[in-house]
Amino acid sequence: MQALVAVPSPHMNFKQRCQLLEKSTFQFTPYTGKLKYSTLKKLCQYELGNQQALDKYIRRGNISSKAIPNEPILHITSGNTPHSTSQNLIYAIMVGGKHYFKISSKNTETILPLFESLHPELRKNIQVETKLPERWIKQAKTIVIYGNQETAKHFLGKSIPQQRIIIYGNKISIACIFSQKFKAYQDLAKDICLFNQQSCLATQNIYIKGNTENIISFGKHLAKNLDLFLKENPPSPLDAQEIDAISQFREKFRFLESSNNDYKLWQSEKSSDWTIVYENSPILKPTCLNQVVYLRPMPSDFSNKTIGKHLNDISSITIYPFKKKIISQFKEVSGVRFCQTGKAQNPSFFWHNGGNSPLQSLITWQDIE
Amino acid sequence: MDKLKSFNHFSQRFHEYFSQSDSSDQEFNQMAMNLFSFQRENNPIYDKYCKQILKEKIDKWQQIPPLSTTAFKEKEISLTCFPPEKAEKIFFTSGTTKSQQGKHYFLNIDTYEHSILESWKKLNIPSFQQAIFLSPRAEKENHSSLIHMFETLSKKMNLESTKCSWIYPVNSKNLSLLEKLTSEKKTILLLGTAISFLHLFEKIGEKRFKLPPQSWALQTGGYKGKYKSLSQESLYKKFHHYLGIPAKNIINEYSMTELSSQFYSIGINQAHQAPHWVKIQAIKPETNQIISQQEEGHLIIYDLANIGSVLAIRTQDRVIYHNEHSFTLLGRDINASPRGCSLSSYEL
Repeated sequence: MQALVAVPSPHMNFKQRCQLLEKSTFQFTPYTGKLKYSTLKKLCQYELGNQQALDKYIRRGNISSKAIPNEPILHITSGNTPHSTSQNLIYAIMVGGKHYFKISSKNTETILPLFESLHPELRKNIQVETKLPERWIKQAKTIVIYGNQETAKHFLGKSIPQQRIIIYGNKISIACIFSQKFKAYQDLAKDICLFNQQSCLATQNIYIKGNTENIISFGKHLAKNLDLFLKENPPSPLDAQEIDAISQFREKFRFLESSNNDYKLWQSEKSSDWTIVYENSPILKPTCLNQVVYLRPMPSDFSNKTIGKHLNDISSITIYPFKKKIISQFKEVSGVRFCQTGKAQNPSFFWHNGGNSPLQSLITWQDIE
Repeated sequence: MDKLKSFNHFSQRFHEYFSQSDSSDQEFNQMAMNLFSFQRENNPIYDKYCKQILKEKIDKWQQIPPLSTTAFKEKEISLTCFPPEKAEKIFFTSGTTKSQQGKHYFLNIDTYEHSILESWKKLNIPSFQQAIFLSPRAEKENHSSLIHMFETLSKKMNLESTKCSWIYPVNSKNLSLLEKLTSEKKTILLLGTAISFLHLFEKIGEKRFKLPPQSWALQTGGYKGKYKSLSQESLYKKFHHYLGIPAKNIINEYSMTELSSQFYSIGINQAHQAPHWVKIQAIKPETNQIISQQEEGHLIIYDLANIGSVLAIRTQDRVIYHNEHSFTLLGRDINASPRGCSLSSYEL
C-alpha cells in the first residue's frame, strides 16, 4: 500500500487541529460517536488539567508546565474492528506531533478511509503502513500496541529502555444479569453481535443470577433474540479459519452435553451465525468470537478464586438492571468499564481504555521553575 | 462372552479382514455396523453421544455418528470399550496446542500394528537397502503413535534385510552420520515429519546430499505452528534441492493419534488413499451436511481398526472429497485460538 508522505506541517495549535478533525470525522462516527470540538476540548481539560496545556506553559503550583507529545509515536493497531485505529488516530491528532500507524492488512477497506477522510493538513504528520518498517520501531519514542502477550514480548524485545511502551492486551467483556427481562435479551443480542463480536468490548461471557433452570431458560430466550437480531443485521461472511474454530467449539460442547448436565449447547440452524454454551462453572473463558457466547452461573463475588485467571483481562462489564451499588461486588476487578446492557460496544469518548488515560500516555511534561 | 473375549474375537476377525486384498461395500458395511454395535455396548460415553445424535435406528455406515477429535482431549474421559487401566498402550496427541493433550487407549497394539503393515504393503513401493528415521526411538517417546508406526515399519524392514538407522536430533554430529550413510550408494528411504525435514534442510545449509536414484522419502505431519506452513510444492522442491529426491518418490502419510490407520499419497498434489478397511465422508462445517464429490469440507473417517475406541472420527482437517477412499488435503494447522483486540507477531 502507498504511504501517506510526511511533510513538515506548519504549526497548528490544539484548537486548529481539533476543529479540522471535527470537520472530517464522519467516518469515525460508528466507532467513536459524533465528535465535536467541545468534546475534544473537555477530554484535554480532564486529562491534562487545562485545554491549553498542549500549546503553552500552564501554572501548576510554583512551576509552569507544558504537555509535549512524546513523539514520534508508533501506533500498532488491530484489524478486528476499526475501533482501536479510530480512537488512536483521534488521540494522535489531539496531542499533535508525528505519528506512525501500522495497521492490520485485514479490514483495510474500513480502516484506510479513516485516514483518507482527514483534512490534508492533519494527514501531513501521519504515516500509515500495513507492513511495519523497522526504522519506525527505532525512531519511535512511544509505542502503543494492541496485541496479545506474544506480540508484546516481540516488541519489548526490540525496544530500548528510553522508549515508552503502552500495551493493550487481549480483553474479554462480560455481562451480569440479575433479572431476566425481554430487554436484557434484546440488549445482549446487540452487545454480542455488533461488529461480529470482534471488539474487546463485545460480550463473550454472561453471568446469570439464578439456578440451572433459570439459566437454561435464559439461553432459550437469548437464542431467539440472537436469531432475530442477525436476521435484521446479517453478520459478515466468515473465513475458513473462523468457521473451523466455531465448528470445533460446537463439537466439543455437543460431546460434553451428551454425557454431562453441566453443559448445554444452542446454535443457529444450518449456519455458523451464533452459538451459545451453558457451562456450569463461573470460570471466565474467551470464546472463538463471531457470536459465540458462554452462559455461566453468577459467582458470590468476582475474584481470581471464583472466575479464574482471566479476571484481569476484563474490559467491560454490562449489568442488567443497572444499579451503581452492584459495582461494589467487583472489588477485585480494576481498570474496567461498567455500563448498562445494550451499550457494551459504544463506549463514551471519555472512557479509560484498559484503565489508561489515553492522552496522558502520549505526552511528556516540560517544566519551568 | 465377557468384554475382553468379545474384544479379542473382534480383533481376530478384523485382522483377517485387513489382510484381504479388497472388500465389497456390503462387507464393509456389515463390519462397520457390527463394530458400531459393539462400541455402543461397551463404550458408555460414546453410547450417550449416539443417543443424543440419533433419532432413529440406523443400518448404514454413513449414518454412524462421528465423534470429534476434541472429545479425546477431555479430562477424565476415556473413550474406550474396555477398562482403561487394562490398556497396553496409550498414545498422546503432540500437545502443541494450548488445550488438553488428547489420549487414545489401546487394549493391545496388535491391530494397530497389523493395520500399519497391511497399509504399507498396499503402497506397493520398492524395497530399500537403507531406511533412515529422522525420529527419536519409541523407548524415549513411548506415547507417540507416529514413532510407534516408525518402529513397526523398521521391524518389518529389518526382517526384509533393510538396514535401519535412527537420527535424532539433526545436529552437526548426526548430520555427519547422515552424510556418511547417504554416500554409501545404497537405495535409501528417509522417514520423518515435515518439521524434522525442515530442520534437516536448515542444517544441510550450503551443502547438498545426493541420494542414490531410487531413493524415496516419507513425510508426515503438519507444522504445528512452529513454522509458517509451506505449500507441498515448496517443501518437495526442497527435497529435490537438498537430497536429490524427486517429487514422484515422496510419500505423504496422513493419520492422527485418534486413528489406527493411515492414508498415503505419492507425488505432488495427489489425493490421499485409504486402505479398504477405512472409508471417509466430508462435512460442511457450518451446516454439518455431508458434501458431494469435489466439494470442500471437514474430513470424517470410519476406521475399522479403531476397535477399542470409536470407529467414526470427525476431524478439523479441510479436504476436497473425491470418493469413499480418497481426498485431497487442504490444511491441517488450524489455529482456533481466540482472537479479538489482538494480532500475532506473524502478522507484523
